[in-house]
Amino acid sequence: PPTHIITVNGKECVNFASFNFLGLLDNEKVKSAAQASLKKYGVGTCGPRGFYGTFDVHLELEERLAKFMRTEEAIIYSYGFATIASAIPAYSKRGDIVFVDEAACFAIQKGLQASRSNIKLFKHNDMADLERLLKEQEAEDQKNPRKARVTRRFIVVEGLYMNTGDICPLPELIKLKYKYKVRIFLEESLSFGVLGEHGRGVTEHFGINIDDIDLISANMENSLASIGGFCCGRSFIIDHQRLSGQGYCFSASLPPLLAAAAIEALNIMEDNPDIFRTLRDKCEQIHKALQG
Amino acid sequence: MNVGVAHSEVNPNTRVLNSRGIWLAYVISVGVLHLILLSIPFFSISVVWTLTNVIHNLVMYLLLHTVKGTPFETPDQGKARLLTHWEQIDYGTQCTSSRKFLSISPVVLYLLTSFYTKYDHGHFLINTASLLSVLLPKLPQFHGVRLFGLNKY
Repeated sequence: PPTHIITVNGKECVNFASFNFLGLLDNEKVKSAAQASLKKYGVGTCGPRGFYGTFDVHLELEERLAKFMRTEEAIIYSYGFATIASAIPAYSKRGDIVFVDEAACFAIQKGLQASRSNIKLFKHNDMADLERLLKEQEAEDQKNPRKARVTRRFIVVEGLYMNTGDICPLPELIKLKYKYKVRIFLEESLSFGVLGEHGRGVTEHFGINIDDIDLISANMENSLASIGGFCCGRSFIIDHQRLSGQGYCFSASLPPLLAAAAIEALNIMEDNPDIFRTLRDKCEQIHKALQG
Repeated sequence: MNVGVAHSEVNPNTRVLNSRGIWLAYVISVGVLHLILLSIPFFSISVVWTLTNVIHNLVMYLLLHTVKGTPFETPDQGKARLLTHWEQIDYGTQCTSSRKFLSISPVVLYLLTSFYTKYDHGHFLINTASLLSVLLPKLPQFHGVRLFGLNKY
């Protein structure tokens, strides 16, 4: 797999075109764990999670992820794009309102399209714009309280935006959440394993209690050097996706060798928490050097 | 064990009233209601028939024209969330056989009740009002109509 040095036309170059933030894609321990799992289970699982496709490695990975993120439960999807694209329509239906950032990634956009809900876009990372939209919605709710009582409201943001590279202002979002009674769905694909002292993402980065976020969804295809994705949160919320998450019920489950690779990557992340410090230092170094 | 139970019906509510044996079950349950009411010793025949008619129409109004949505999750992102069961039958197609059966059965019950109450004035008023309350929502012109904003959301 491509590492941080890549040969292009015979010249050795630094590879900036990869999401392999922690370098775990080339790690010997991860590779040997995957190969051992390949010898034990074969390649595919030949079934969705509900029909003979659940292996012990899936359950173990879900448990490990829930413990790592300090939430009650986690659920694994076999394709990173499908994770957030299935999670949003599982909760938000026709007639519900979703406030989403303009710079949301393509997977979120497809999830919103599948949900058939009313989408309200706010300017990228602009909390004043979001508050304006929330206030307008509050005024409409007061005009029609019976309709407001059956409407669910969500905010969908990313921890580290794929399209712009900015971090979302999570403390202000939490304040808005409790002021206007909206649920927050946080998409942590790029920030999982990158931000935070132990790599737990943008909630650890800002020091926010993980119970304030209703659903965290992340890709395992970046820092965790595997394939697929996971959602974590309270059991009450995550358990709903076991029957309503279309990408969970109607897709084959994650190949066990990839689940074993993810578990090994999690082990490495838990045993060496200083890699996040190294990553952050290197990022700041490059940022300063590129600014000229 | 579960062979033959999988179906690709997006909203099972739309075809439950077309199921095998459900019309017979409906007629039998009205009969059972009538028998129970007949067993109460201090009701006269007229009162029993009027009560059967009124209770039948009340339950029909509640189940078919008041309760909205589905008791289960549907894969269509809540298309029928604001629709009553009557509006959901056959995905809104009017004048299907279930709809005709359910429109005619209160009328048949009304005719029987009028006969057994000997066309008494008081009973006539009650029964006719009850019949109208359960026939008007079934008209195609009233599909999706919510009077006075009641039961809208």
